[in-house]
Amino acid sequence: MDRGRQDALYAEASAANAAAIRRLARGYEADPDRQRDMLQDIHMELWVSLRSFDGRCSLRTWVYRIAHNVGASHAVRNRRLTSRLVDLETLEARISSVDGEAEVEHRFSAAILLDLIHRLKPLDRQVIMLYLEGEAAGSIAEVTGITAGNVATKIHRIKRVLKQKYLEGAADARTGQSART
Amino acid sequence: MQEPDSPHEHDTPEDAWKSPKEEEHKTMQIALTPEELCALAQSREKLSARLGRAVVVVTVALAAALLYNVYRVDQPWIRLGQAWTLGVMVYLFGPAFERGRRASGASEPCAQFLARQHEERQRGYLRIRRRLFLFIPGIVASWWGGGPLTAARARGLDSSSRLYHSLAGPWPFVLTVTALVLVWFAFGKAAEKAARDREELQHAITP
Repeated sequence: MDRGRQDALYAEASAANAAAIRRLARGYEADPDRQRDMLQDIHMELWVSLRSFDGRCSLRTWVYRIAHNVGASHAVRNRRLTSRLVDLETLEARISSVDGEAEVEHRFSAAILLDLIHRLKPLDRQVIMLYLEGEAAGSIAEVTGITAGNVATKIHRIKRVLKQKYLEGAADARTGQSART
Repeated sequence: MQEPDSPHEHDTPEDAWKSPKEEEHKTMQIALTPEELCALAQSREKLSARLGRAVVVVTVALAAALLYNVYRVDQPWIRLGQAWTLGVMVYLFGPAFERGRRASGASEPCAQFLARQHEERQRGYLRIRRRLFLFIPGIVASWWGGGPLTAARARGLDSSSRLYHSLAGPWPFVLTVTALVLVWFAFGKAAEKAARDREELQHAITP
């Protein structure tokens, strides 16, 4: 592929997905300086990889694959952290069960969400981040390489975990409010 | 009474995910042109090549020292031991020089990418582990020929000192082999961890 086409593809991919890539970097790394480094790595790898872009998948899928693979490499390299990561199944079991019908008024915080994402193993992290980006199960399957059925199961778990975290957040907020009044 | 809305709280997880704090958003702007990205990629390539050259220099220096011993030392067992170790080093590290830089941003699906990474890690650890004991004949030959004492004499160590006497016994051999066994176990543990990661990943892909 010629350099002009590579640059044009990068410009298109970057313009359309810059915000999603930024969010992805936040999902893989909590430290802001390292986030910036990772972001730079993702953009560099994306630009390099587009030399071999063959159009067999959409540009968006390609961008997600590159970005998540850079993020996952980063997560796997950080051995000290990796040993503490859990999968969705374990996380779901750890979070106490709550009444699904309970009415809550608390609003969701990005910090709670990021804390939860940072505790997950790379593959589950990818699924939850793609789900939060609004990607459909089929698209998540294409990016991650796991079956659509399996993605659907994971999304079901993600929803339950998020709901439970949401309710925990509500309980914390109510406790905080009653302490203030 | 409910508190006024905080700018960092949202109705749904999706909203929370897509609305980073404004200050974070500003510091996370990356606006690199393709030329800058090209320069960055080239500088990474250069750094990787420099690191590769540094490894080559260190390995060649070690090989040269072993070769020097092969020619200079009179004791045939020591010469044999050094020549054997030199051969093992070339066999172990030679192919590594031919490998290029590995792309971290491969475009394959993430599960395959991670599985490949775990597999490469496991294979790498096991390959080194299997070949570690190739060093033993060289160590035995050098020790049998009085290698530690020859080295101590060359460094001007007093022959009446305790260290000199301990070098004359089996301790240099025992310590070296113990260190080798410990490294062997460490590589085994690392390979087991990589295999476990791979299995967990497999479980996550097809539960």
